[in-house]
Amino acid sequence: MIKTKVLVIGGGATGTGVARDLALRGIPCVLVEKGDIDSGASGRNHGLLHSGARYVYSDPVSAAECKEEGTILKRIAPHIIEDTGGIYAAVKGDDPTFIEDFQEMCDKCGISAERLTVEEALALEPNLSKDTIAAYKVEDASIDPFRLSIENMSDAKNNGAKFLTGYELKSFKIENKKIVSATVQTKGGKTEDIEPEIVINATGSWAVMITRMAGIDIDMVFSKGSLIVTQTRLSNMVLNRLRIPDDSDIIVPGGTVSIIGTTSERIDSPDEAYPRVEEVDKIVDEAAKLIPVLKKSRLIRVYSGVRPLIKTENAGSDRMIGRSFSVVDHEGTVGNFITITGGKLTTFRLMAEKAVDLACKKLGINKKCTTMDMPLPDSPTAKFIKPGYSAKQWLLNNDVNDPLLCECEMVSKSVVDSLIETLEDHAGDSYLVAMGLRSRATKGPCQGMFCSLRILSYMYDKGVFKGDEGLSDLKLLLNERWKGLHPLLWDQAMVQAELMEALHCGFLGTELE
Amino acid sequence: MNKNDSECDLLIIGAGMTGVSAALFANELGLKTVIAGKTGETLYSSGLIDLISSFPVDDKKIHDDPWALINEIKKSDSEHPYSFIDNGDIEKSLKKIMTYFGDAGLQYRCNGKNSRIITPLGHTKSTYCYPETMENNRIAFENKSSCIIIGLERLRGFSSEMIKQVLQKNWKGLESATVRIPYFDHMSSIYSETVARFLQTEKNRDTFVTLLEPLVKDYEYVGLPAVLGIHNSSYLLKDLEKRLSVKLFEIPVIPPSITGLRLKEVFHKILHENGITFLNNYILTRNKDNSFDANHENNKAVIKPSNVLLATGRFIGKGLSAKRKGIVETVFDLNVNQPGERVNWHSGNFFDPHEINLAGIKTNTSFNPIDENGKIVDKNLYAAGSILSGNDWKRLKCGSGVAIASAYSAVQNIK
Repeated sequence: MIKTKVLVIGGGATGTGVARDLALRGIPCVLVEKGDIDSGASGRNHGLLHSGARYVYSDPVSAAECKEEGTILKRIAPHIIEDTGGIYAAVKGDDPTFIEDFQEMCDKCGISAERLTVEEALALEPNLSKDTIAAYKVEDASIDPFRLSIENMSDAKNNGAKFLTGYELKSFKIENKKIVSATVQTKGGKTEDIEPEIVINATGSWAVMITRMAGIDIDMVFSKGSLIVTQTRLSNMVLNRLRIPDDSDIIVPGGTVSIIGTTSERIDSPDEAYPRVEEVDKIVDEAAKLIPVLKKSRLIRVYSGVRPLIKTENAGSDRMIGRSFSVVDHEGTVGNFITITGGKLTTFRLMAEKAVDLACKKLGINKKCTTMDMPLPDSPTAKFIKPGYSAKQWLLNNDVNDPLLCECEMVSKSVVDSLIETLEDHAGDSYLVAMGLRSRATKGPCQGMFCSLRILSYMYDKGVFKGDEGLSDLKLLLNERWKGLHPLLWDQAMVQAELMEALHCGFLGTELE
Repeated sequence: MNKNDSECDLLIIGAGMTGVSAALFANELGLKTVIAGKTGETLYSSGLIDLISSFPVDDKKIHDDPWALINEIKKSDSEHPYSFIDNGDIEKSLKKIMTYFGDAGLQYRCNGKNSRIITPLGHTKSTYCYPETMENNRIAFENKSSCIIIGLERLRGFSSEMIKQVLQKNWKGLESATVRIPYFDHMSSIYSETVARFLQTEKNRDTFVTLLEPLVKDYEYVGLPAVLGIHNSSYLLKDLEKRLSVKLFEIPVIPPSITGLRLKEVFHKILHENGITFLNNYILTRNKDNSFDANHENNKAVIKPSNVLLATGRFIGKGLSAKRKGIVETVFDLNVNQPGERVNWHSGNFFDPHEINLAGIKTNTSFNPIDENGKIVDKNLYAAGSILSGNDWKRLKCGSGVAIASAYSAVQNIK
C-alpha cells in the first residue's frame, strides 16, 4: 500500500506536468500510467508549439493562451524547442477574404503576424508551392513532446514524485463521497493500492473512462487526427495553410524529419485510433498543394492521436469545438476528485497549474505555482531522444567497444545500456518499444526490422530477457511499428516492408503459432 | 558489332534463384541462353531451400510433409503455381539444382521431407534442403543432444545465450558461451563474412581451435553462427570437427549472411562453368522490335531473343513496383493480378496474412503470362518465380521451391 497526498492518473504532457508542478510545490504525489510516458495523444501530435495563429478564427481564447504559454515554454525549456518560426501561406484558390482578415484577427489576440511578399516567403522556404499567393510570418516553433514529458517526469522524480508506468487503474474505493483508495495493476497482474488525499485525472481522451469508475459521466467527443512522418526534413520553419482551419494544413519540422497533418475524424473510443490508407492519401494530396515536394518524398510512418474535446453546443464541426481546456471539480459528487482534460500540448503547463491550484485549495495548502519561471532541467534520461545526439556522441567517443545496434539512427550499445538502467522499474508491455520511446532506436527507415534483432540479442547477452520473453517483446515491437507503416506502403517503403516480412516471417517464422 | 551482341533462344531477365535455375535447365535442353540481372539480393537469402511448410496461408502452423501440402494445393482452388506443376517435376528440378550446387562446392542435404533447423531467434525453421554444414543442427535439435552454442563477440544479431534461453525449456542439455577472437579487437562490430574470411587460413583456424577447445570438451555437438568460410564450408567444418573432436554445425544468421553470399558465389560459378552468357548487373531496356539493349557502365549489348523468361521477382527484386494507385509489372507492363485498392493490400496486424502477397502475374499452365481476359500476351514470353500470382512464399515458406520448379516447368515449354 502506498500513501500519498495526490494521485495523478495519466503520464502524458498534462499528467507529467501536474506531477512536476506538485513536486515543485513540495506536495508528495504518485503518478500512474497504464502504458508508457506519452503513449496517448501527447506522443501522437505534431510537436508544434503554437504561436496561437491557428486559433484566431475559431477560438480566440485558446489563441491567446497559446501565445502566452508558447512564450513561457521558450523561456523555461529552450533545449527541447526548436524556435523555427512559422509561415502561413495561401495558394491559388484559397479564400482572399480570410487572407486579408488574418492580420486583424491575429492583432486582436495579441499574436504577431508579419505580412511577407510571395518572393520573401519563397526565399525563406523554397519548397513552398510556386502557386503561393500570400504569406505571413508567425512565431510558431517545434517542440519535442517526448523529451518534454520525460523531462517533466525526471524533474518531478528528483523532487520526490513517484512514477508507476505500466500500471492501469482498476478501481476506486469510494466512501462518503471521497476516494479513499485506488487499485492499480500491471499487465502481468501485479497490483498496488494507493491511498491519496486527492486524485487528479489527467488522462486526456481516457478521462471519461476514469470518471466513470468514480460514478461520474462527462460529455466528451473523440476526434482522431492522423499525421505522417517524412524521411527527411522538408522545411526549416513550420508551414501552415492560410485558410479557415482544415485538414492537412500544417507541416512541422522536427529534427531530421517533417510531420504533416492532420485529419479530423470522430471515433467512438480513443482505443480505436489507428491511421487508415484513405487518410494517408488525403494528407499527401492536400498538403502537397502547399508543399509539392511531398509527393516525391519517402514517408516513414503515420500515426493517429485523439483530441480530447469537451462537447459544446453549436459547433459546426469538430474543428470548431474550442481547444481550451477544462478543469472539472467533482465536488458534490466525489469531493477529492479533479479532472483536467481538453486543451493542447502548448498549454499543458497552464492546465497543470490550474489543476494543482484547485488541488491545493482542496488540501488547504498555500503554495504558489513556480513552473512559469523554473527552468525545466536538461536531464540525462531524455537526451537520447534528441535527433542526432547519440550519433554525435558515438562518433566523438570513438570507442571500439561500443558497436552500433541501430544503424539508421546510430544508437550504440552504451546507449542501450543506459536505457536499460532507466527502465528498471518499467512495467509496460515491451522493453523494445519503451526503448524506442526514449531514444531514436527503431525510428529510422528500417523501422526496427534489423535493429530490433540486434538489440534483442544484445539484451539476452546482458541477461535482461529470460526464456522466450524477448520474443514476445519483439512481436509487440514489430506490430507497433507495422501499425504506422502499412497505410503508406508504396515505392521504396513497399520494398522495405517486403524485406521485413521476408526476414521476420519467411526466414524467422515469427508469425507461426 | 559488339561481342556481347547476340541472337539467342532464350533471354532470362533476373538472376536470382529463378533466373539462375532457368538458365541451367535451358542450357540442359541445348537452348542458347543469355541471363541478365543482379545476384545482389541473394545476399539476403538464408541459404535454406524451402519447398513448402505451411498451407493454407492463415494456418500459421508448420508441417513436416511438403508433398501432402502440395497435394492439398492441387485439390483446393488455390492459384498457387504448384497447382500447374507435376510433383515429379518439382522433385526432379530441386534435385538437379542441388546437384549443381554440390558440384560447385556447396553441398546440400535433403531428407525427402521438411527438416527443422535452429534459427538465431532460437526458433526452428522448417525447410526442405539445407547446407550440409547444418546437418548436425538438425540432428542435435531432433535428439536434444548434449550441445553448446558458441557465439562470437562483436558479431551482431547473434546471441548464443538467446538461442539457449528460448530452446532450453525443452532441451535440458543445451548450453551457451561466447568467445572473443583477439584479431577483431580493433573493430567495433564484425559480420559473418569478416569471420568467414578470417577462418580461411590454417593459422587463424589454429587460433580459433585454441579458443574453442576448453569450452567444447564436455559436449557432443557444437553450434556456431554460419561463419565457416565462403567457398569451402564443408571442408572447413570437417577440418574443425577433426581438430576439436566434436560434431559441429552452423546456425543461419540474419542478413547480410554468409549463407546468402555462398549462394551468390555459386550462382556465378555454375553459370560460368556451364558456359552460359551472364550479363551481370546489366540494365535491360526493351526496344520496339522486341530486342533488348543491355547496358552496364560502358558495356553495351543488343540481345535478340526468340523467347523471354521473366524472373524479376517481386518488390525487392523490382519485378513489381507498388504505386499509390496500384501495382505494376516493370519490364513489359503486364497485367498484374492484384487485390484492388491499397486499402486491401495489408492487414492491420503484421502477423496476419496480407492480400498483396497474392498479387502477381497470372499465367496459363505453360507459364505464359495472360491478360485480364485470360488471353496469352505473347506465346514466346514466360514468367516464373516469386512474381507469379497466388504465391505467398513468405507465409507458405515456398520461395526457392516455386523459383526452381516453375523455372523448370516454364523452360520445358520452350521449343
